Amino acid sequence: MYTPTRDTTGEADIPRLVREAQEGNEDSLSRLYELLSDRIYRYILMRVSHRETAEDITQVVFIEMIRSLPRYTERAGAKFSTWLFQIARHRLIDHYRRQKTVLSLDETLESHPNMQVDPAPPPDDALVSSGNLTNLLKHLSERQQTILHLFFQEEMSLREIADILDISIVSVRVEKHRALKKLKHMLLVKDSHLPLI
Amino acid sequence: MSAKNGYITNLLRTAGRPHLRPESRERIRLAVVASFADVIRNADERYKYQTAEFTFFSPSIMIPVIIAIILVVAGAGTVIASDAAKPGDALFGVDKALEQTRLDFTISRTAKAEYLANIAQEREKERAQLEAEGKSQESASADVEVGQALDTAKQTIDEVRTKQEQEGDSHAVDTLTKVEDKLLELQQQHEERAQEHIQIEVKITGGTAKVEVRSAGLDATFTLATTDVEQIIAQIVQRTGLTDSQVRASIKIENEDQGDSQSDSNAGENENKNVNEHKDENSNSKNDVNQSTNTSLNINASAPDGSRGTDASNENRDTNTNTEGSGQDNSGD
Repeated sequence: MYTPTRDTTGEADIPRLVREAQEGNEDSLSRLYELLSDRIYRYILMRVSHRETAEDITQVVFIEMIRSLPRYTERAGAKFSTWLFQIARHRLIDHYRRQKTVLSLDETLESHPNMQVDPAPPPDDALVSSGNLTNLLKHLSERQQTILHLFFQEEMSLREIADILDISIVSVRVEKHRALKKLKHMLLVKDSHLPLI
Repeated sequence: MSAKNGYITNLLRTAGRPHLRPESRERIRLAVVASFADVIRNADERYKYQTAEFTFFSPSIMIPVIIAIILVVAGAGTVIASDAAKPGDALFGVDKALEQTRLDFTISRTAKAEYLANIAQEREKERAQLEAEGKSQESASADVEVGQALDTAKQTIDEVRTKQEQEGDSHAVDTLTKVEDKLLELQQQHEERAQEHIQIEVKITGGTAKVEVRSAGLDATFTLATTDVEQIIAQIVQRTGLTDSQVRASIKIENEDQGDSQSDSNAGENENKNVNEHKDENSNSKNDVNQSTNTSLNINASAPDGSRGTDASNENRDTNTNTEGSGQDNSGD
């Protein structure tokens, strides 16, 4: 049985921390950073596939968060993290505009061993290794990769993902379904030309 | 298939979660905190700047000020526009209100009287303009305004003159005299116009007087239980709001009981006296008015001494007033 692995400690404190940070409380801001920095970093790393670049963009995202914090207003049903991920998405768009070329995933993996999947044994035949999963994801669209990441890794709801990507929930659901179907198809085709190893 | 499906999702969920390297985390944290302090400090400076430099220009003050400026500008436009307004115009009420306001702020009684005379002149100017434009109805309304302005001015001048004379202020009295002269000219013009437009017909029959009054904005018919001319005139003045002089200048009396028709209102004072002399002679007859003449009944409104042309008849008035005060009004104005 699957159990969430993401550390949600302090998640409930975020609204209070945000209010305190808006009032100028530096400790609350530091705490917010501690709670959210890894999530933002992973999201960005998943997209840019380069550690240093992801770190730089993460820093930009949090600085942008600080500047926008006075204008942030808590909305019913909307999480602060969703708002922060929207900022991250916009900064990623800026990054892509400035730098059209994205480093190859292989290069990223070489420089970031933690990107590899957990060494849990596959349930049947070892069709997919850690590297294979990353290679398989490369064959998905960027939107599909993001949706899978936010849904499975960040455990976000379809609505939160829809808010971040600025698309409808139906689109998120459809894209997620297509992405999983495509991954499944690639796994089933043993003789495919995909680099399944 | 389903096993693989579950395997994929599990694989996605359990994929390694890279973390920021500790040194990177700390570096970013320091940068973020520094930026935070900078933002807070700048925000404070902005606040100080706003409170220091924008004390008198803060939105809470500026918004009402801007609104006031707009109102003043718009109001000034309205004032300018209303100054040219004539009776019947939408802004005429504003024009009159502004005149009243200015009057309220005029402290000197002499100046107040002078200003009232100016208002009367202004009304006369407006009336003449409307007449020139061929707006007869508006012109008639304006004439009413002229009459009211004249009455107000004259009344004020009389009051002020009395006070000034009591105080021995000869200079002020002289000023008032000049103002009054100005008004008298207007008054004469006004009355001449009134004579042209007012039609008052009185039919005396069966001891009653049926009165029909036609003038601008006035259409009244009523019956009086009297045949006495002075009483008839007094009733007409009371019921129509016309001035005594206007009534006397326009009235036509027809006595059917005597088969007479007196329609010439321009007859002389002597004829009028004759009428009243005859009234005296025939005082035993309730219905007889002017029994001995077929000439017109003239009520002279412009006697040289300012008195009414019918003064000679007043002494004998009681002989024909057995129904005095019992007028029957058939219709109002």
